[in-house]
Amino acid sequence: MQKKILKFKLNGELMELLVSPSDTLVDVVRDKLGLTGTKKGCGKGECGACTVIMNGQSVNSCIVPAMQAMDAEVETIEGIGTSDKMHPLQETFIDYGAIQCGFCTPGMIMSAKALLDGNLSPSRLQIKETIAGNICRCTGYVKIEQAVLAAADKLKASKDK
Amino acid sequence: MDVITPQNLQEALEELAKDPCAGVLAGGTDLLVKWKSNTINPPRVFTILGLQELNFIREEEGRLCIGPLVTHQDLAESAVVQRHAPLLAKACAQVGSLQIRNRGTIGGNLVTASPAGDTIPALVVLNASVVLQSAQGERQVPLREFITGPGKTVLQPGELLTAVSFPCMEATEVGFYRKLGQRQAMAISIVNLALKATLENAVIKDISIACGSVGPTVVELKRTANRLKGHSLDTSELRNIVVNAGDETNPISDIRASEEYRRQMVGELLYEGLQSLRRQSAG
Amino acid sequence: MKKDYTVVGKNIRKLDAIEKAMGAATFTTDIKLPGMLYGKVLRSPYPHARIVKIDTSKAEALPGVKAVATYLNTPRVKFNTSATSTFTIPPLQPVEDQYVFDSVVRYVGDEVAAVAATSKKVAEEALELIEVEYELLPTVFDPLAAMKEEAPSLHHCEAGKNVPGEKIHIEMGDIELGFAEADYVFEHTFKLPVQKQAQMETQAAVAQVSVDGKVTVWSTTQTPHPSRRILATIFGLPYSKVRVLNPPYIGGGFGVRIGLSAKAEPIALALAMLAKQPVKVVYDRKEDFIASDTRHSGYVTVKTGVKKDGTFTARKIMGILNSGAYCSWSAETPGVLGAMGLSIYYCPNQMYDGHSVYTNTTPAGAMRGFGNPQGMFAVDSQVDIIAEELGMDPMEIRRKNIMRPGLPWVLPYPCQSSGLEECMDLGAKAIVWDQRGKQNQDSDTIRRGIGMAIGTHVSNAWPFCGDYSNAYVTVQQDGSIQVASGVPDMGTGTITTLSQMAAEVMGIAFGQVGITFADTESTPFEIGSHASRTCYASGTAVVAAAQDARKQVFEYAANMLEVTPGELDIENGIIYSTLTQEKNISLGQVAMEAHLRGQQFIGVGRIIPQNAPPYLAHFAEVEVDTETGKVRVTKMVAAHDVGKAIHPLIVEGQLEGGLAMGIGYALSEEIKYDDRGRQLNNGFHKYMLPTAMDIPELEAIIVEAEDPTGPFGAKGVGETGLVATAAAIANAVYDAIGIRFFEIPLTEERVYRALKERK
Repeated sequence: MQKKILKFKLNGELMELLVSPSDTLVDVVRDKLGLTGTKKGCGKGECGACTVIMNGQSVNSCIVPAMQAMDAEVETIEGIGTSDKMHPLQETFIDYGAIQCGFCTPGMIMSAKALLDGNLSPSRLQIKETIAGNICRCTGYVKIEQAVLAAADKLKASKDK
Repeated sequence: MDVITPQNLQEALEELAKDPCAGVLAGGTDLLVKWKSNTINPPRVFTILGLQELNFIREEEGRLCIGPLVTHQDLAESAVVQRHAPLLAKACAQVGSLQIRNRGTIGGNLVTASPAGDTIPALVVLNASVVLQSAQGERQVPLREFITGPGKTVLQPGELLTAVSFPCMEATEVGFYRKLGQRQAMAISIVNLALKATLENAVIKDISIACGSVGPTVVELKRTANRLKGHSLDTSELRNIVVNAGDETNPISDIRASEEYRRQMVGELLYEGLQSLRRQSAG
Repeated sequence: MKKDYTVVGKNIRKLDAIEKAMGAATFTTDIKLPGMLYGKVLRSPYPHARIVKIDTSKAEALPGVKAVATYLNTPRVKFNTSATSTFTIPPLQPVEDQYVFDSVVRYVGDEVAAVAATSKKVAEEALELIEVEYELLPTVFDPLAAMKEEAPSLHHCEAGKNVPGEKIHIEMGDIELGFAEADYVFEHTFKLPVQKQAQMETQAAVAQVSVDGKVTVWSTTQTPHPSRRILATIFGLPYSKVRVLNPPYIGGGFGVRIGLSAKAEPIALALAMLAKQPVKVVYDRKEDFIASDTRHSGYVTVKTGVKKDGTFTARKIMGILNSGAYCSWSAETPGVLGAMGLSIYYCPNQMYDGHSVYTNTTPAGAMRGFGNPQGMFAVDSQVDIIAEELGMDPMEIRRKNIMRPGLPWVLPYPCQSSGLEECMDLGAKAIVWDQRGKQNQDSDTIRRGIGMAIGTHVSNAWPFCGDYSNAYVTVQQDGSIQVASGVPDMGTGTITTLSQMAAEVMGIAFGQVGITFADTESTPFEIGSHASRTCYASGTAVVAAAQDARKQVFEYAANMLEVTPGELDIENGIIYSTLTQEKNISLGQVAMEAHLRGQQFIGVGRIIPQNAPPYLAHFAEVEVDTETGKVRVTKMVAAHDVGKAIHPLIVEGQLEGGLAMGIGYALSEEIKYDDRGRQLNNGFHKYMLPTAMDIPELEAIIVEAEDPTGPFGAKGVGETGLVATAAAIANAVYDAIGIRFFEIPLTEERVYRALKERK
């Protein structure tokens, strides 16, 4: 199969690389570009571990054909904060005990970020609906939901300033 | 699997005419999963997801026209859909997970023709029809006739589903959609059921009922609908009328539920739906 | 002299959390080495068959294929994939019934061969080129059927037809006398489903063999040291030439990784040895479902003798568990089921008989709770039945019979602490127990109910198998300290908790502690993360090591300060005399002074842990939709006696996570098989573990009845969150609809059918 050129923006940086048309976005991000923060839990869109934000929406990158990312803007966990300036979700996930094994965490945070990018006052139910596609086997979800609520408050406070 | 990206609908139809066996890829939530499970292995697929001309929600002469590339999440959130077909918005909100709803399209859901497809019963009670277009021309097919079996449709090689449309609901009409799954999200329906009725002082003038996951394709409960016509939603006989509604269906037993349970749930969900209509007509 | 702790009991930022939040944490599935190949496994499509012929020549000829492994070119050394072989105490012998590959396959998914190739795709293509001729053998899927004479034998067994290991018998008092003294005798049998750990990272390993033959295996194991022992034994290497480590994070475990279930490690290593290149094996989700250990399904019978006033006079439990195709932990699990099921209540006359049975299904092994949730679903469902028959409140009958410190029980260690009654009281208050039975009108189709159940567990693996721990605490020249413990951190907060304990003992700030963990090369032997033991047992070793280092420091400092070591104390890194405050010196100064004179303080902790009972009371509030049979848990309260919460937020996280898994066990999670032995629920859309939408409000209440044997009084926590969840939910469902269930999960269909049958 002939490889094709894929161009897209990853965490704000323009990427141009050769991919096999049968590659999925998660393969490109993890294997070709070495950003292993995005995890692969099932490969079939059933667990959300590979969630990234594509053009503002959360998607399962394991069932997005790489070629469909052409010209898209893709955000992964590596792009949303730095160790000096973490994203509020990263801070609250840490401080509210929302992280145990950490394998679902990047996808969970990306799902939550897609929500908060458009809504700084989500209800508990909206948060649950948002992360229902992200399986977490460790936490029982409660602390994750609390962390998302707390991050929304932080973001709102900094916006109001 | 090679992925080819046509630039517009015309090109897509021409390419499809040249290679009618190629797969068509929209959101990929079904095709990619099947491909990864080695269920299918098309050598070439056309990705149509970027074709903006197939991504629209329009109100036209009393009908709601929806492009096949509109995602479930867009439909669930659309004010137009919520106003003219709230039961469709509800059905779309119950699909998979947010990530799946963000990618999975209404056209994909119809062409996949899963017996459990969540939008299909809703669109059937809305009297939807689909437009099938090819390089040679286009035709309109009622949704009831579009799906012929599990995974089977009347879509011919070279044809693309390019629109879904249905009459906007009237002020006198009320609707209901309910999905029963094994869990509250990311579940395939055990049974799903859609209702649309015309009421006059809580009396059922007209009603159509469709269920999914209880037969090879969507099942319409015509006999039960006929029996319900003319009855008031306040009558104590409702339960008796609907209790055996499942007899009109032809479910199978699978890992999610038995045939028997599915049959019984048809009546239960229908009864729940009628109660909901009653509340809607009262409110 | 109990002083306020400065580090213990505080919710300090977890050591692993920042890396994980930033996407910078490394897991086995993230590893990429130069020249690394990808391994894929060919699995049996049949539940029981003999391999008559296997031809790998076409696969080997495929460009990119570097090695093909089968039973013909891998070691013929038998082993047990679980860590049991490391600590089965003589005269018991570990059951060793597996090879890396065998000429007989015993379940659908059993490993037949493996390929290492330059890419995953090539490896997958090569699998299809391996030609295997099978001779089908007779099959059996149910443990009761497998015990019958005419059933096929899966392995050679001494204790009984298809019974791995030995049958477990536990006895106290005179059981016949106990039943004779009873006014009533109750006997019920309960059926338990197969539950799956479904940890988020699938089983995986990367193996590398250096040019001089030294082996390194990065693995998802919960037990690096025992897994190292298994690998060294299979491949005939000195332990010292095999390094097993986590990289350092593991995407969950819940028991499935105690050892090397599904054999990613030996398969990766066999391929690496054949190919002379590093090999990575990552199972896909379906492989993880069908080939790695599950929770044991089976049957539990409980027979209880009781006086009119509710006093238990005799209890007999019988357990028959489905081992699946290989033993794994099947010799030990029935023992924990029985011992825990008997120990939650005081009863003078008790007996347990239990064992596992081989069948042609996926092996069952360790999963959070290790037999205890199975036993407690039965025991505490029955206690509610008895309470109702006697006209007693479920709380009262339990209060009357619960185990209390000082009373005899079947365990070889004493019960020295219990906060169980406080757990019951606090939980009852939080769920508003008084509302029980008063929440429904006759016409309600959504019926509400409240139920409760209690339980206990262990704080380490002894007496069910051997248990001991070692740790080092090394004082660095600047006064910071380095802890070395072989225990992994599966996300359970272990490294944070152990570091807190070390900081507390050493009298330094948490930020001054570094920790090396989960690596056989840099840590002394340590069993690993299982049996709710890491805080209690590994923690005891770390505390002992820190105390040893502290003693050395004080002796040295006493000389410098011209005081006696006994009068020294340390706070915030400053060593001072408790008699004359002006005599003080920083730990860093002492360490540097010692260093300049050729000495480092190295504390060694070598401990054999006692054991201690954590206690719990679970309360569930449910809604049952009588029109669909759907059960929804609307609230769960879990009050737990954890001894001492070293890090309360971590403890709550363990409890909440356990509850969620317990809710799944009670309501929706189950793996079934078809009549050809194939799993019907082998992926996340077929296996109904709870999503965020399925989990209600969870309230974890921490009770601290410190145990004298635990570090700072701590007891085990990790597994306790789901010990009584299913029983509490089933009891709540009974309160809602008046129907008693003897089988879980309480799916909508099971509940609906029961409602119909009653009509």
